[in-house]
Amino acid sequence: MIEILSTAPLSMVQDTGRVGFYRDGVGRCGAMDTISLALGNLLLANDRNAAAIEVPILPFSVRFSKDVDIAVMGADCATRLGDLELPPDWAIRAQAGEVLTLSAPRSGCRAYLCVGGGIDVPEVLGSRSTQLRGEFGGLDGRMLRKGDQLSAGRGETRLPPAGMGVGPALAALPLGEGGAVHVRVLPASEYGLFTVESHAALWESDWTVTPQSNRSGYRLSGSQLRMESPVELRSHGVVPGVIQVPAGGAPIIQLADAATMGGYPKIGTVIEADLWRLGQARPGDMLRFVQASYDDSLLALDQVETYLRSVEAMATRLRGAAAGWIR
Amino acid sequence: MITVDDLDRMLALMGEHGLQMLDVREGETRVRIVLGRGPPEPVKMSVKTIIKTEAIGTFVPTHPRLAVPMVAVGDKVMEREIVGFLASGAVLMPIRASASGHVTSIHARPGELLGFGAPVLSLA
Repeated sequence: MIEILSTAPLSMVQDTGRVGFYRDGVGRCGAMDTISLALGNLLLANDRNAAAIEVPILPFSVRFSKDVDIAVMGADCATRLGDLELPPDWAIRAQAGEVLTLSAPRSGCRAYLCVGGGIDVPEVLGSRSTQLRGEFGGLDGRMLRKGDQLSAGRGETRLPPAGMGVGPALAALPLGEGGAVHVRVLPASEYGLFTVESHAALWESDWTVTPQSNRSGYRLSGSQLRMESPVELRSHGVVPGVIQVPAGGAPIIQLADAATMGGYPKIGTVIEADLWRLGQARPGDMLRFVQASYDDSLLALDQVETYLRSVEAMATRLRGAAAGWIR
Repeated sequence: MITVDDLDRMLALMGEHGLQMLDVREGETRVRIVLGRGPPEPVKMSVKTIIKTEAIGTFVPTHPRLAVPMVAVGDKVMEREIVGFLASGAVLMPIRASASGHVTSIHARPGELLGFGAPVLSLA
């Protein structure tokens, strides 16, 4: 069992999300940084979709009542397991009675605690993700709180004795230079209705993530985006990544917990392959939008898949080799 | 050409076929593997301990997301502490202190390809 000793609000169980229920008004949810989730699961030899605890606000600590494989991924938050300091993005065997503590992040925004076999909560509509809006999924459809008990899907270990880790995803999937978080964007259906100046501002401004940002969406500040003339739109489907522009002209990027419908004009959509980069952006961070084509977007998904497969192959090989070296 | 990537496959084949020794030549490369008896002897606590690798890979003293090396000469390390890494592709294997002590010297160079049992640093 895993007992939550302390947590700020908004920690919850997430997997890769609930796909296929848009027509029923059920959004995707899922981890904000799906790459960190996938890497943690690969290190632990889990299904890539296995559920983990997403921790957006630190500190956070848990106690393990049984030996269990764990991986702490994403935000680098000076993690300690008992008296052992863990490197970032690290998987290791936790012993019964040990306490894991995550402190304020030195970089990134969200940490993921993955466990062997995944967090064992019931699947609802094909996913273990917490859906706060509908109050289902995860642990009783709610955020985690002190005293909660969760169990891991697997007891036996699949890790080398001293554990193993993975290098930063950003090094393997670099994009842009400088301090800003770069994401690729496809022009959306109302793009052509915005002014020429707004088009230039979209691609050339430094955008800042404002504190009015959460799992539903990030509100940005920077330039004002204006339309040639106002349009009235009927409510239409909205997917994570869509950049809406309300009347004030400050864009909002819809994210994992976004509603399935909306009526604001859309200037662009952050491509699926880059949504994880936003998951680690915190208020005050700078964003840059890079124009992409549909083909670029598909290629980017292939690149993510190739990277994850290479990590999976190497982790599998080293897991086997670790036993082989000591013969 | 034989690469480091082939080593654990060779070991696996040796295990499968019950071989104690394997000697492979290919072009300029020659690999000779002799299996010892049982696991390597644990490093005893002593005035001087040499921390050795327990895997193979490229020596990475500084985690790619951190600014400073895991240890420097003069640092105190505790048994079990991670003192560096061996990189294979994107995956990092730990180099662990087998005893507690002060780091007196670092033998491995950043980026150096290390085999199993290679000395990484000395403790006193």
